[in-house]
Amino acid sequence: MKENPVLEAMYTQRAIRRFTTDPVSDDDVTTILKAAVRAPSGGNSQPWHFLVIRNRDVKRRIGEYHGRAALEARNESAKPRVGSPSSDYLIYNMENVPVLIIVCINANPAPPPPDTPSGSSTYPAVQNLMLAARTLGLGSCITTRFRRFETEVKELLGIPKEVDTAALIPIGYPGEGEHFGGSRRKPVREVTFHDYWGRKAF
Amino acid sequence: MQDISLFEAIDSQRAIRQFTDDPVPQDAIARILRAAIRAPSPSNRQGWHFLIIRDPGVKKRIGEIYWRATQEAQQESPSNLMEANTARIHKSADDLARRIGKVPVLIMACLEIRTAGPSSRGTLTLGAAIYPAVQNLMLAARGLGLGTCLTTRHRRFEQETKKLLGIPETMDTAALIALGYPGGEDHFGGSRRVPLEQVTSYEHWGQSQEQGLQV
Repeated sequence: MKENPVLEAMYTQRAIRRFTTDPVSDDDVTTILKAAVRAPSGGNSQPWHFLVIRNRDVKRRIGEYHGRAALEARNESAKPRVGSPSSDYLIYNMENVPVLIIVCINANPAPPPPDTPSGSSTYPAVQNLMLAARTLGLGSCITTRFRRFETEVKELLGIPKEVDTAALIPIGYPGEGEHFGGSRRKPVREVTFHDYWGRKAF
Repeated sequence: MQDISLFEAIDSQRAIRQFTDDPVPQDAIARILRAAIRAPSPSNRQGWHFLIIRDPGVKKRIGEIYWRATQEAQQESPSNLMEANTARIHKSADDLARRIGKVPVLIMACLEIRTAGPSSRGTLTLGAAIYPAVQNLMLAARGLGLGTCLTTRHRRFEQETKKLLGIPETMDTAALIALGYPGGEDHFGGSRRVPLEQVTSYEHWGQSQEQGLQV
């Protein structure tokens, strides 16, 4: 039986970090953003803002921050880590990614300090955005590495102080070695319980 | 039921707070969970866990916690001081509070809390590890004709909730999701959103698409 198209999009989503140089059309970007804003937000607050970046110089500078942050994180890791070819690609090629979208959230008046639910009105929109891209044949991934240099990135892009950055999403057509689907996941039965913690559901 | 496209699901997702009594098939729950776990997970850590609640006694007790949390929240901003929009949202929350103990299925989406490393600091991005999966779950449900709504209000009584459900200290309850077939006056359909131009910038904060193109 053919899988339901809604579920099919999700089953085949995968982080794509290497892209072809084919441009992404304005229409596609608009379609993706329209999908993003349909996501739920607490009290319909719609606290999001999407910054679309195609300018090569701006992408290069964001890439520098992302790269520095990613390499720093690797060095801090307890066990030595070698980046995957696709992670490395993104570190050195951000300027070649057709479109970058930075998802922002109006942090005011978020209750301090931020905790898990602080993202509950942003990341559903991020996921809509990425699923919409997937359905258009566009690959994407989500990274928050650049936030190590959030002050610098906000200054670069003119993002106001009261606005937080939640994610950087590179978008483009999947490049060599990349394909949709097949990300490794633990089976559902290992991550689900029924009625009480520890009671197997499936 | 006719299959809908992903875009139809996205466009017609809407918080559903009234449900029919029709049970949700186990197979549907399995399918939407399979969709949930395909969501991005930072470093593929998959720190999520989903607690499916159908036991009427447990649902009733969650309903009581939720009711108390709602009362408390509304006391903090009395409805006579609120704008119409806020009042309407309070009413919706009220409706959910009255019904949540009786919805066919509740799902508690939990996230493992990391205790070491700089990323364990309280930050906005913690949610990046769970809400994409929650959104997949809700969209997958929509794709199967099932309604959902997402709330975090139970977290006012997080410890009590965790104790009731046996959720370990190492897990955070990130979302409580009601699941069932839309009932009463509830139906799928577009929800109100501000125009896209108000929430997008191109190349630099505050620049319209046309201005961005000139860069």
